[in-house]
Amino acid sequence: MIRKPVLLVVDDEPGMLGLIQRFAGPAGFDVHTNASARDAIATIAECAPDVAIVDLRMPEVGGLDVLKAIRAAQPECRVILMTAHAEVDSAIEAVKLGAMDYLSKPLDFDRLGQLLAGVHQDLVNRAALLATESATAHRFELCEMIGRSAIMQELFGLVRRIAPHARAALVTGETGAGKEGIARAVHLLGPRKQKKFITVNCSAVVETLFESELFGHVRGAFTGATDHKAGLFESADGGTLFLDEIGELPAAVQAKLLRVLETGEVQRVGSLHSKKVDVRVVAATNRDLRREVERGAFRSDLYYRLNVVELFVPPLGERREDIPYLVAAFVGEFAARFGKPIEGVSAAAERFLMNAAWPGNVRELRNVLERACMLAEGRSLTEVDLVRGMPAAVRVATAAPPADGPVSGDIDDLRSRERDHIVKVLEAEHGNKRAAAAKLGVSRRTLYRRLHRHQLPLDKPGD
Amino acid sequence: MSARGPELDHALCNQIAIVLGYCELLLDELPQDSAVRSDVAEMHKAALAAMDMLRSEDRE
Repeated sequence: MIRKPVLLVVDDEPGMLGLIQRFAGPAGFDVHTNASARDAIATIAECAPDVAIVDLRMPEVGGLDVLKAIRAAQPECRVILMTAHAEVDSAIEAVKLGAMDYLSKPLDFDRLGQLLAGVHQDLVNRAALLATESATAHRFELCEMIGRSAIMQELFGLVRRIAPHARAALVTGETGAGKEGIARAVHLLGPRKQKKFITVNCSAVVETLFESELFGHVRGAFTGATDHKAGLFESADGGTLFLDEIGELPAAVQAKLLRVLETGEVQRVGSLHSKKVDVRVVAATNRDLRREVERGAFRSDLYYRLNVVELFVPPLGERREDIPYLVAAFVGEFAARFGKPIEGVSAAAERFLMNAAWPGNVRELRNVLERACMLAEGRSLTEVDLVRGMPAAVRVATAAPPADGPVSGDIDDLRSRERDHIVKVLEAEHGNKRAAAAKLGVSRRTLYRRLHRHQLPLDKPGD
Repeated sequence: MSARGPELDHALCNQIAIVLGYCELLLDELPQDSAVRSDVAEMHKAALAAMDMLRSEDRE
């Protein structure tokens, strides 16, 4: 089912808005009307029209300005201008600026009907084209992970083959390479996909609480155990338990985990009874577990129990050919989330991304693009946007990778950067929020939300 | 150009265009034997005449 195309009508004459709505609504359009050109410009991104009908002569802001704003913010949108007096000069100007057609009032409904039908047909065609494209792309994707490189295709193939059968699997690979994604894929492609997928980060659990977390406890088992509590194994019954950073598991817990895997039974701490559970365990580590076994830090029997299948996720540096596809996907995602008209990256920026070291792998690439998209002002990300979006630690890519994930300081850093940037732009625009929002590439409403979030004053002279 | 000036002419043209537009939509939708059809046709005719007057004045 294809969505209804969105038609935006801008005319200072409300009667005209009503008339066009009356005509286009029954013709299958989702009609948005606006009697203020200024307002229409400010809300273009939110409205996201497929086609717009704009009156040429309006007080304050003219139709040509609305046309320009639409071309900038919503380049796919077709614009039809209309006027009460056919003015040849402005008609030529309109076509030069990319208007689709020019109608004079009184409206010729046959002509308007044809134009709208054309827009409708285009949308149907485009949807069909996208469907074929995503069908071919499907081959290169696995549960939202992108991997066109041979090395990832091999991994995806292995995951598809083992997911329906394997009772346990071990995912290995560097930090940020996408181990959790692979674990999720094993879950989603297996017979348990309707059931729970529970993640435990073994490096984040306090050693003394491990047993209780995993296996649960009964009341009075230890100080503070005021009630019975089910462990994660019981919660995940029927589904998949993902043990991230399994290499960090304390030795005592390793022994207990092994017993659960062997017997399929868990015993709550302090309880004499054991309970049958049916859980598929997928473990992940960025350590070389074999070496950990050799030096006695990890139980060999547990290692072999988990390592029924080893799924190695290659670092980003070994699959650089995937970078452009990952970049396209991430930029698309963040542009949509931040409501910005970013279409891609500049050639220099792409070279930069292709050649960077990426010690933090896909996660790092994603983080850098998220920041860059947030800060970018243009239609394509430039090298400057990217560098600006990188925390200093990453810029010196030779340094050792961070332990895991974004360090907490990053988000604060990002917030303060965003705040500073907003303040700078507002100052440059003398406090005019409409102009500042346009420059930041966000809607006025979004700017107000951001001002509120950063506790910046909402009213300043000049707006 | 009329004695009223371009702003008023523009506004008049807009208003007449609205009347014409609604008349045309109604004439399209009303069944041929509808009792009000001839009334709407009269309104349409009058609005058309008004528009013509405005246009001819414009050309003078």
